[in-house]
Amino acid sequence: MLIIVTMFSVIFTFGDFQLIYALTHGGPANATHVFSTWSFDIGMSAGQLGMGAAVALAILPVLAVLIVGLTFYLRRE
Amino acid sequence: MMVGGKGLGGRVLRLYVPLAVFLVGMLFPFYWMLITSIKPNRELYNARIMPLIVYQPTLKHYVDLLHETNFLTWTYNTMLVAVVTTVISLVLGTMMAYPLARMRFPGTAVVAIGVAATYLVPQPLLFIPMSDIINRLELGNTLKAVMLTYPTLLIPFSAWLLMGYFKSVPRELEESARIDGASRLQAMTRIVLPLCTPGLLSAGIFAFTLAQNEFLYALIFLTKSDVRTVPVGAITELIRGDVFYWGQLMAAALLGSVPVAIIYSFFVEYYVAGLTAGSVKG
Repeated sequence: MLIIVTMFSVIFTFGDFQLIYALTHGGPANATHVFSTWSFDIGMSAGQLGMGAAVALAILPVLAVLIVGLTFYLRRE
Repeated sequence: MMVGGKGLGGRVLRLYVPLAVFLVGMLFPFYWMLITSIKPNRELYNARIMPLIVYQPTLKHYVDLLHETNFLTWTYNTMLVAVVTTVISLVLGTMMAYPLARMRFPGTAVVAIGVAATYLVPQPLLFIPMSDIINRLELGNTLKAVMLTYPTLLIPFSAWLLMGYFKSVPRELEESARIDGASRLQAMTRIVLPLCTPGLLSAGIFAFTLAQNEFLYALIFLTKSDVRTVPVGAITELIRGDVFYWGQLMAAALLGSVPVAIIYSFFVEYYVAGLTAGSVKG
């Protein structure tokens, strides 16, 4: 159970956007960006969709391991 | 069961003191929201006075919020979107969860894993492709955009939650309904779904809350003030550059959390009650 909760919160923290966007917008001088806010800045505010998607996808390898692991844990429950 | 027995002193020390600490910790943000929203600006920005007390409470921030922003429109939009998406995702989630919980067909495991994995993929990975699709459909700045995209989060979520509830209903109940001549669909709608009312309600409440709080998709798809939802509207229009309009922000946050609180208090009995308890004896 503990491992499930841990993986859950890691995955959801990885994907957190609104807290950082609301508090700092990634600033000052891009110092507080995470993947999600950075890809929003590039993809939406600057309009470079492809590069924004690339930034977002850069977390996928790590995340994929977690997601697959957690999914199998959940199935076993 | 008595927690931390051993007389009154022990109970106070081991139960009520930790509970009180926990309660204060949980309620403090709401208290802060409330007092910030009713403080006049000169108290709000005065660092020399005690911040936990309001000396001259005022409703000015609420009046400003209602007059100077589209707060009522945002509330209406949020409610509309939340209700529509909750209904969509409950219906589709039920249709997805029931066969996964009850029937055996090739690929059950793959679909079930797919549902869980879809739920776990975070939105920041998906918002750029989504925005491309929405732009191609020319749905930008309409509420349809978010009504279409929220179910991509909410359907896997409610399907996954409902799967557990459907599994908890004893198979025997359904089998006896089938023996009495009900079709598979009737067994589902007349036996399983009524027994799963608490599950449906809790999935509905969760989905509603998620839809109401959703930020990223709403921020991307809704850029005009009159189609925005409450969280996006409050954050984009009450934070201008580095200036935070704290009083109005807190007023918006407080007013925005009222509907969920009402709905929750309305359904909380249902939500807690386990209706299946005692349906199969022995």
